[in-house]
Amino acid sequence: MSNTLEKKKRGSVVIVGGGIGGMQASLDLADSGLKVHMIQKESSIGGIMATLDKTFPTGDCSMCMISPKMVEVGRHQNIDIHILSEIVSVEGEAGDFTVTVKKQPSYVDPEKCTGCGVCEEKCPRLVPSEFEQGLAKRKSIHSLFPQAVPDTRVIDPNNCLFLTRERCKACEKFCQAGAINFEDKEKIFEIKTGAVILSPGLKKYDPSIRPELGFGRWPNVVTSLQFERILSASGPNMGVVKRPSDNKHPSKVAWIQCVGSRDSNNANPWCSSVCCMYATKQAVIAKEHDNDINPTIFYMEMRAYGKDFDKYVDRAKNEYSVDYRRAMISSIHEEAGTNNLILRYTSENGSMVDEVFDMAVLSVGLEPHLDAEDFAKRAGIEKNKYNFAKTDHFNPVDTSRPGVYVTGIYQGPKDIPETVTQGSAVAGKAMALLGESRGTEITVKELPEEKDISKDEARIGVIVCHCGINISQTVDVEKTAAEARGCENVVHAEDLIYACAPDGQEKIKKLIKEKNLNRVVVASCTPRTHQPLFQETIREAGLNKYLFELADIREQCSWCHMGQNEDATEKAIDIVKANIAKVRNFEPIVTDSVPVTPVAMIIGGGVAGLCSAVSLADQGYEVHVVEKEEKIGGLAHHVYQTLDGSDVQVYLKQLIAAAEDHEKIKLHLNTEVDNTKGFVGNFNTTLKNNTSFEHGAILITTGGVEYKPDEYGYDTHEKIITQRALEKNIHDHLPRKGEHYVMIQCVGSREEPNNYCSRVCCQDAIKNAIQIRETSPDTQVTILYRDIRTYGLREDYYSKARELGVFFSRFEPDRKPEVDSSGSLIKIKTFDHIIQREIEFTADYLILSTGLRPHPTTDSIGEKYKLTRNPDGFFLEAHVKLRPVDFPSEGIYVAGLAHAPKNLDETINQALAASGRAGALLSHDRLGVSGIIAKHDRDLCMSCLACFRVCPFESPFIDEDGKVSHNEVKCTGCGICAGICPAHAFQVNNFRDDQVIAMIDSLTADILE
Amino acid sequence: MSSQTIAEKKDTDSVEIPRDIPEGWSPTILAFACHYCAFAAADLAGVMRLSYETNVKIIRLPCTGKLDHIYVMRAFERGADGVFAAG
Amino acid sequence: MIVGTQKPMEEIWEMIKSYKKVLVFGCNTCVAVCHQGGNKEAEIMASMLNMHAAQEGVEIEIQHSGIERQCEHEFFEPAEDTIAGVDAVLSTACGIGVQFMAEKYANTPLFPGLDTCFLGAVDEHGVFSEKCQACGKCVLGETGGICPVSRCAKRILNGPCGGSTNGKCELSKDLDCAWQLIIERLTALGRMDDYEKLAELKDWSFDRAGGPRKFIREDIQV
Repeated sequence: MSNTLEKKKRGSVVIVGGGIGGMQASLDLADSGLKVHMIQKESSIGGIMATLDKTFPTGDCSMCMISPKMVEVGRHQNIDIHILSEIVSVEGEAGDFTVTVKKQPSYVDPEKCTGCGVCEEKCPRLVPSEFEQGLAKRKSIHSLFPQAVPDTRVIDPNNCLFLTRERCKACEKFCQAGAINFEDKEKIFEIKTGAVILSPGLKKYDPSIRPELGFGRWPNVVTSLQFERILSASGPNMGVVKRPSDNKHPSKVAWIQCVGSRDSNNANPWCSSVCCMYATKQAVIAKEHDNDINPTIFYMEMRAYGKDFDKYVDRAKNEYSVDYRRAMISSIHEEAGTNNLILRYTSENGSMVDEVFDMAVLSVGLEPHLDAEDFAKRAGIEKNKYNFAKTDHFNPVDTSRPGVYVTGIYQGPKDIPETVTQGSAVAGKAMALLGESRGTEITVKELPEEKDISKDEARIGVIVCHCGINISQTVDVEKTAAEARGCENVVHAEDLIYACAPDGQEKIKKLIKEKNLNRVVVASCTPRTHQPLFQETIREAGLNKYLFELADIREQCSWCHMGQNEDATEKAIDIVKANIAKVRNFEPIVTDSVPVTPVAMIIGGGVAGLCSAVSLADQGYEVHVVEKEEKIGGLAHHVYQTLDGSDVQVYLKQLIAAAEDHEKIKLHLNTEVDNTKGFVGNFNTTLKNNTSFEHGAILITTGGVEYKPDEYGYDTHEKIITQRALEKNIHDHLPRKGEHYVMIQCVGSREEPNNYCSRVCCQDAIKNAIQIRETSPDTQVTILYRDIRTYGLREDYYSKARELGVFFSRFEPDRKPEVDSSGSLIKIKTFDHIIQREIEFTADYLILSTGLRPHPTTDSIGEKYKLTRNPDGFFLEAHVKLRPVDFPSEGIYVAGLAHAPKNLDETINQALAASGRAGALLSHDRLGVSGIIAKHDRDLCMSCLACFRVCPFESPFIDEDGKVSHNEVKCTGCGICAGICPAHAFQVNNFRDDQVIAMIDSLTADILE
Repeated sequence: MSSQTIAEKKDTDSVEIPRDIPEGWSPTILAFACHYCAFAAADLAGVMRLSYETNVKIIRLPCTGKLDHIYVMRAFERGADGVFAAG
Repeated sequence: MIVGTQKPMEEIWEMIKSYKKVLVFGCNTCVAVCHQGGNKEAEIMASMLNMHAAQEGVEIEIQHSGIERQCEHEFFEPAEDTIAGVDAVLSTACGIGVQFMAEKYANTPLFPGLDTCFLGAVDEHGVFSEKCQACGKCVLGETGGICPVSRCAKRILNGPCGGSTNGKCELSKDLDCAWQLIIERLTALGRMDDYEKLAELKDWSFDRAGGPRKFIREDIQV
């Protein structure tokens, strides 16, 4: 079919589900010029991550990470959020779908609602809060949680007194914005779109299905999600660890793993992938909150398979005294009179034990939503036997229906970074599909020319907002406005009921014109959410948007000083005056932009590199792949099949052909990068073969290498081989009858100096064991292991191997198997922990499951591009949770084994994600430089290099003349340079020393009198 | 002279002279807060209606790395009783 | 680069407390790089002195200012009025700057805000170490690029002495023996023959023994 006959594709994407995966996809897509419609079932985006307290393994605050992202999604002009909505059907085909959406009534007009929350305060009806997992109450009219986006309120019709019993209407009475609408009805509407991304998220296993654990019966048995809220500083206990029955501080707390997971009887057969780590995190954080807590984790297998996870568990054991016990809890009972819990379990030596704990946390597993089966039907995709979306190993984000993609837990249990990775991966997929229609469905605002105010004296306008009654019930807003009026340069000050409502915005625009204002201060809520809105407003009135400041007198004044009206008013006046003082010194900021070369360079031509290359080339960008070896394909050349039996060689052949045949991909074989100059959007690379080219992005996919063991007599016997060699052997010829294969796991992994899990070895061992037993049933396979880490849906194959009669025996690292390779048969002795005695095997083959190591070039590449490596030598991403394929240096991305050991499907995910991220960058003709950046004055600078050494973003650099210059494109405006500079040569726009000092002076004006 | 001895000498070098606290006196505290974390935390305190004294006033910085010695000195010099840097 | 450290507050206070108007005057070159005497440090010091004065209950006006370098006449021009308007100047330059100013402003009392310590390098951000004593006759060519004059406590030219143990100086176990470093470097360079050569008696007249030194380049004088 020729291009002219092809139907024009739509430039928009529907994303179903507003959790972190959907948010990542929407931001990447919206940034690349595609319109995004986000369909979210709940009244706010954020998903499960918003409910978490901290995240493993860094202990970062979850809400602190996700909240800025939510705000970004909420105000992105290319993203429309449809709350309380679900998809009814998806008709059409890739590039041109019609999605029918059903929206539940919210009874609040989002156009009028300012999110002030007065209605919520006045609503008399209290119901258990879903967000707080039933541990606290919410009102009938509510927002899901305080940081909800969008920040409108919704009415819960099942609990509203008016909607159920026709009385009350308090919300309507008190809403000064007139936003309440009891006539709101369910709406059904259609969205025309080019692609659909499914990220509906997860449901937690309901532990009341297992009555023996006593959930719902004994108050001190809580779920792990409830415990997240108990730990959370913004949760019902404000971070104080108390048990529900009597609010006492618990001392002995037990975590019970695999509740609802790895259990085909009355739960789910799969491993939920995240519980071992979140339990470890909860134990650590609980201990941090309250040092008297003694955490115990009851587990089957410690699945700390991710990057730096084993080290985290070790820290939990050694530094936080978390007690890990390998035992399954058979029942929980309450001790009479104390509310303590008696946990019954079989200890490792086989005896039955009853132990008393103060509190128990059930580590509940993840599963698809209840309506997942119906959801798949509505989306028109196939599902797997467990109701997850069906995907194949080599196309992990493609559903059975072209143009419909899947991300996150709906594809299989996974943690946050993997969900974010898939979010960017689906974005990359949709960009490849719809690249040509970029920019066709988004609207660009026409703005008036900016007024030149450079010669005018400051004429400041001040608006003091009532925020309904949020501010005005505590702060005397009229008095505050009057005080502002008395300040130097203030030509107008008044109070408004809602500054942020559409009429408030219009009023501000009108005032700017009428009073010829050239600087504006709004005293209302936090600049973190509302500054951009007001900046846009003054820009629409012809003012440079940086001539604005928001004085926070709600979050930081009226809300925390309730009932202290006089003092709060004084404080509000101080805050407003300080901001007036600051704004007085504001100057218009001209933001610069630099062109972007729409070309990517990929270092490393393994599966990660090739996959990224093909995706970027499909998106329409030119790609240079630089490969050190003479052929592309990397480590995958030695892999024959995946755990699920997919043929790797067939896939690799197709991938190589796709890369070789693509007109936009240029392969540079047998060479390496000599040097790269430039910065994001504008790199220039010369290879060692003297080829040079310009490019806008760099993808590092340098891969890893397999560890060559020196343990267990490898090299002393021809039948002591690695798992990889076995794979080739059994691929080339069938195992012979009667042969005994013994495998030893964790060879060269999970021990100093390589104390990390190589992640692939358990899968490899089980894959080969299944292959041996299936093709030659008259063989024996024994696997000696420490923990079998078949996380997620991979657990099926562990079960299958056991069903096929593969023998598993666990050893401890301090008592490893001993190998005698002196004879023709190999003798292996090991201490089995189940039967508590030594056993001896005679093996025809001893297979060592050797791990993965970073590629030897990792260090030199790292030094070349100034990229940090973790202690194990793998590249360290910008943020382990939310920026899993980015580097801190803009325009450089990572995927595959270069980042950490991982399986092939995960490498493909990351490769697609890196190309999604890079694609979003390369889609811009020009890259805007932010306004709030550090400005460098070369006349003041004496090149002492303090800034150069401390800047985390490498924006100060030593220029060609040998002195320090500043690359504003890389600058994030953090101002560390300004803080350290001994010459005041750096000043951050809108945070200049004179501006900050004006605030300090204003706030201290009354003291010295 | 080694750098260690210089540092030691400075640590014991206090310019502070304690004085009696007048009755009814309340301190003025300036807080320098990072836009991304501490300022957000102060917002959250408000959202959760956590109450604290009204004599704490927050100056937003893009990052606490931007906190200049001069700001702290200036605040004290002009009579602030406490400076709180959070980020 | 010249490295100095700020004098203790008490010492500074004793010097200036009897004046009514004092200028803390920064020098924005060497001592700014070690974050001790640049214009910003002068500003901080002025602020500390102001507070100290307030606490002592002494009426004293402390100003601050600074220039690029206090060892060259031309840089002073924009600060002339400021200097003329005060009773005393506390210079946060090195000893060179303080003396230069003292000669230049005969009627203004001049005080040092810093103890000038050494000529050194920036090993890393915030770490400065002595590397040269300006002895006037460089021996680095013979000693593998490591200076026995500045880095050996005894300044011996045929070392090490008997106090060198495990590569450390007898003064402190944290202090490298300069001669150990010299031997290691010469060994690495395959130049241990040079080590065997006895260094002749050093002519210290090029050092301070010959009195203050002066260097004139007539060809570029104007």
